[in-house]
Amino acid sequence: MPTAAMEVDKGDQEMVAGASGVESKAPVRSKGVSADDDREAFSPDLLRIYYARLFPYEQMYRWLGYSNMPASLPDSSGKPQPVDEQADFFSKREFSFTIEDDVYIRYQCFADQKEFEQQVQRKQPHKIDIGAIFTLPPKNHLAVKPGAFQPVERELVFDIDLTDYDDVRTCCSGAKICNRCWSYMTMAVEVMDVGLRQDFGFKHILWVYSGRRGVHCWVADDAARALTNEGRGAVADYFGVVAGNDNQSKKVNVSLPIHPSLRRAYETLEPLFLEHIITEEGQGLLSDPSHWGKLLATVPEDVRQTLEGRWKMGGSSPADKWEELVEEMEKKGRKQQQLAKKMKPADRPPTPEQWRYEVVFEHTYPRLDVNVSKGRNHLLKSPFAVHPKTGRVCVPIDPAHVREFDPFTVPTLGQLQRQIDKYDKEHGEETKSVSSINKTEMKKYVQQFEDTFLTGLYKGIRVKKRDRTERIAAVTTDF
Amino acid sequence: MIGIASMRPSAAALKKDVGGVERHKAISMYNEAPFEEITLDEFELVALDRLQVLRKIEDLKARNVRGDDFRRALRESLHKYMKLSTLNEESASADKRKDTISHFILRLAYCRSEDLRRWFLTQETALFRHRLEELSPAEMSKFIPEHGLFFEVVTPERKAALRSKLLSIPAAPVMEFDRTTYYRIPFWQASDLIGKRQVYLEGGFAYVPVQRVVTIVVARYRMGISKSLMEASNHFAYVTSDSRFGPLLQNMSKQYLGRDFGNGDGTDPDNIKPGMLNSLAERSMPLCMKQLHSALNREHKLKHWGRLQYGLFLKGAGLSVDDAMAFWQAMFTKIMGLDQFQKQYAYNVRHMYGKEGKRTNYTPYSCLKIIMGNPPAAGDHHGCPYRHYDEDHLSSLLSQVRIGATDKDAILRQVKSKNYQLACQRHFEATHKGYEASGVSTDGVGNHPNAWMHASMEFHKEKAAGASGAQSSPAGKAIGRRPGEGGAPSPAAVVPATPSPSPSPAGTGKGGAATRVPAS
Ligand code: SF4
Ligand SMILES: [Zn+2]
Repeated sequence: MPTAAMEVDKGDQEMVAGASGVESKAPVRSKGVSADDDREAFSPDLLRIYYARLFPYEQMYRWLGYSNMPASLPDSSGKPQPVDEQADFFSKREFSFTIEDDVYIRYQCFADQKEFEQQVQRKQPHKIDIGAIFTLPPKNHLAVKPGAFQPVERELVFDIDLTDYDDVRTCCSGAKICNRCWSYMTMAVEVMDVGLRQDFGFKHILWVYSGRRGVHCWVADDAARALTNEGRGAVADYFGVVAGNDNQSKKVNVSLPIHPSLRRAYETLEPLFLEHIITEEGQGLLSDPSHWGKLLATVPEDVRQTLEGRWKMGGSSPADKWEELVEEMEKKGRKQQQLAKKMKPADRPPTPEQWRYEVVFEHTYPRLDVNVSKGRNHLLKSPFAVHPKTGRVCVPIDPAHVREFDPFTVPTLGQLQRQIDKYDKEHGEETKSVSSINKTEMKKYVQQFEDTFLTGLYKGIRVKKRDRTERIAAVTTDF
Repeated sequence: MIGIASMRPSAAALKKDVGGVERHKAISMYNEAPFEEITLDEFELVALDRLQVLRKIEDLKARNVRGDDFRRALRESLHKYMKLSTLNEESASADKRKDTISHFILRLAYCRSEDLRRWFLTQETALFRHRLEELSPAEMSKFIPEHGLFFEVVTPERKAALRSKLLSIPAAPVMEFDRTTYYRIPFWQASDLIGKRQVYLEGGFAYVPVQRVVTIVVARYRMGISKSLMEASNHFAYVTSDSRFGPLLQNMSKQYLGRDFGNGDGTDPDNIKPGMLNSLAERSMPLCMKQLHSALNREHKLKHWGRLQYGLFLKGAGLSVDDAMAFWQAMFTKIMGLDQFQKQYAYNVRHMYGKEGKRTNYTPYSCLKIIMGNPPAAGDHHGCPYRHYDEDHLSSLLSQVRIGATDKDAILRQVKSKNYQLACQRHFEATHKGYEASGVSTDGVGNHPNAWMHASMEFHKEKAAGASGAQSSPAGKAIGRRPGEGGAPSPAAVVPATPSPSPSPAGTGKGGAATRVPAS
């Protein structure tokens, strides 16, 4: 029901949302930026080298071109319905560039890989965003009457950013990140990836480091690309567990019995909660009195007093404390059971089980920026683009090895350039025949992009093409 | 005599074989327009009868009547105006004829503008949902295939294998599990249920018990009607050129909707200017807009939905596009360069006024849209405080805007029973003591933020006129001073009674009703 009133005009909101695609992103600076090793990480010159020698145009084109096969919603058996190839498919995709001095250009589009390459090299965008496939090439959007220019399809995307964890993370805040708080992203990827695959049946999922303090996710299955805005909102809401705003203190609401997807998430997250959240090496929720004070504020008064007194004496580890807390809550819960039965469901205090889910989820469950997911037309930073503030490349993350991913080892433009130099110095003359990508760490990431994403995607595309040919054959021989 | 079929070129004949006593057969998804002869009198009569029902629905929703109370009230209204008899074939087919014809007449009457379409769609969807909910699971399982909805039935073996998972879904049919049919439905057809996590999902399919299939059928229905409304709007001019029922159709849709705000035709009476905003926020804005205004003053920035909600509101109150640009620019450039503002936000402002993109003329959000719409997340300030704040925050906010204890309690009580819009009316009454005597119309207060402000401005105008002879003082000179109503709420003031009948047991209703209230 909540969306009923908005059905008729959702197209409008989409346009507005799209226009604001860049609002929260930091302004681009054009001067040099240095990374941890204090050497230059980003500059217009480095960017020029990157676009000339390292950016994987070919792979990006293969992905976004989908071999000219538009998305088609699967039928009731789950098989995509036959569609025709569209020779100009890639050219209907919107790109937007943020170029020097913060100038933002929307509605860029390119006929093919060659033009894509030329334009990127000509305009030297500090930031590249990817938008939707439209009814016609976006550069013509003003030439048609309003309404004729509409988004048609778009990957389902998710944006998870560490700044949305500021009310729980204790190590850093704002744009700053460290290895401790990066574990929030690790947990988010693990939960989302499994959910998208098992619950929604998606297969073609690409995770990307956003270049600074978050991750992006692109789902390229037919069913995902063909989703309406409403459908996208539903998927995002399905993963929306941590809610609330600055005027609501409660951030998580779990009802019992717990949904199977949340139970599965809890099983993944509780051990990680014990490892990354409560420990001193992690967020210190149960190792530091000032932090556990906040947690104890959410439990009944007598439980709080008992534990505060006990914990003051010291001697117990964070894991012990968690166990004690759970135990005390359960004791309390048994006592309260009788009382609660007499209350209206809405007034009942959370059961110990609920409380436990809520605490763990508040600290570990993925926090999505749902507005990015909801609009087909929302722009999102391209994989392999560069973050101008850090100079780091937005490299893919392999979800199967997400725990090993370390954002601080992601190469900067400066490092990549030095890798090329080093290779050339060491190998002398024969380096001419070696492509620049293969001289750098980019090789690994491009390879990973192919292996974990493109290969599977193209397998699906081949099946779609074969089905279509078969169907045509069946029709033509059938008269 | 007029052939309704002339309204739609592709009209097919209304099936004559309805009737019998099977209840599910009486419900129509209106896929085919009737091909009928009908007199002008009947034309008007059937349409007005249906309108009564749709208005009833709107009224019940606005007063937040839910669950059993909602069903009972609607049943009554349907019985009076639009019953679907299943007694015998004859009366069944007569009733169905009326149901179909009246639906198509109103569809035409309400296709004209976006607001009308949205209104019609909302009420018709609720009506359809109600009718489906009146069916038993057995009737529902017959309804589904008869309407071309191909949902795959889950085999008993598969169902048994998934038992524990299916039963850990909120509101699962625990007692009747063995007898319940489950359908396997592609997830994108079950958006509503998925978004609320009210369904088990595996491999891209939602496993939906027949009891919950209603939601999905309703979503389908809504999509269909929404589309045909758009199509109908293309024929509207042609249809209304008929000198006989043209005027009838035109008038029918005028029956509802009160004032339009911000249609940009120069009739917006309030004509506010940027310089007035601080004092307007202080004394004439409903809580939601007060909050947006003060957030903007504090942070010099609003996120996307906040800009829309507040920006369109100001537009609705007559702020011109140039003034709006100046206002937003002045605010935002306190924390960013002019350059950045122009690159990132100026487009937004012009867009709101239909000067960019699709050039749609956006209308300000009604309370319903704000309350049901995108809830605010961290860092957001949009939404309706009554709906989106918890009790503590709301209570301290009310104290902050100097609402006395008695009024505050009354407001919080309304919020507790989920009567957000009544709470907002209450806020108006509390801050505009004596409004009844002033003769100012409070129509739409609690339904539309612009109506709230409009009524408040009228009230203050009246008051100023009364206080200083005929001279009306320009609103909004004094910043920080509270003209008129006096600083401290006087405890002795007589509290005016709540205007609309209070739906007493709603929300707290028994059993099923309460648990069905969406948890969001
Ligand atoms: S009821 Fe309407 S006017 Fe009042 S605060 Fe909520 S949204 Fe604003
Ligand atoms: Zn950190």
